[in-house]
Amino acid sequence: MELFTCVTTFLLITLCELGDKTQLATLILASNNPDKRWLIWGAAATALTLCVIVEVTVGTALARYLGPALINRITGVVFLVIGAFTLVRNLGSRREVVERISPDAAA
Amino acid sequence: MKRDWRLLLSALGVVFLSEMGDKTQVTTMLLAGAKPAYIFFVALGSATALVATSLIEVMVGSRIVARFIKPSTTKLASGAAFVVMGILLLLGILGAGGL
Repeated sequence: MELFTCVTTFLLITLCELGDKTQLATLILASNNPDKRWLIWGAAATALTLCVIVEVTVGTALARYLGPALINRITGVVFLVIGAFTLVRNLGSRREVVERISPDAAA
Repeated sequence: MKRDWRLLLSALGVVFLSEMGDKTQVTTMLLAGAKPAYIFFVALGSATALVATSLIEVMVGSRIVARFIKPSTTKLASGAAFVVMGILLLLGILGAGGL
């Protein structure tokens, strides 16, 4: 029964995760830093494991108070800010030239 | 080295926040609520699935996307993708209630 629960949860979450925004965010992070793929994976795996721990403990109570709608609005604002920063930083041609010549100097 | 820590923390933050209010999170919570006696095994199954799928994402991003698309293009596209996702989340189209 324990194994059954574990396996069915695994399959359900794997299917749910396909095409999700977390998946897209991880993919974007990895394609922006291809040399640091293990670092990104470590960070993503840690974040997701932390999320699961939060979900099964305080998550149920927290979701009742806040609701997924409000959490999604907060995430929306943060994603907008991240996107705007990424665009502004990379639209500037001067910085791009500096980055192309020496990536370390730009960082 | 300092840049690595910044990258680690920002990736951790982005993925953590992104997973909050996501449909996988809602599913895990529903499963945990439905099977309170097996909460540990729900968590184990869910965490394993997420770690495995994130490996696929990292490999696709770093080996396929980064190989065929210029870094400047992926940066701009990722900025645009975050803006679009942000707007969709604010409008309630994306997220647990929507897609």
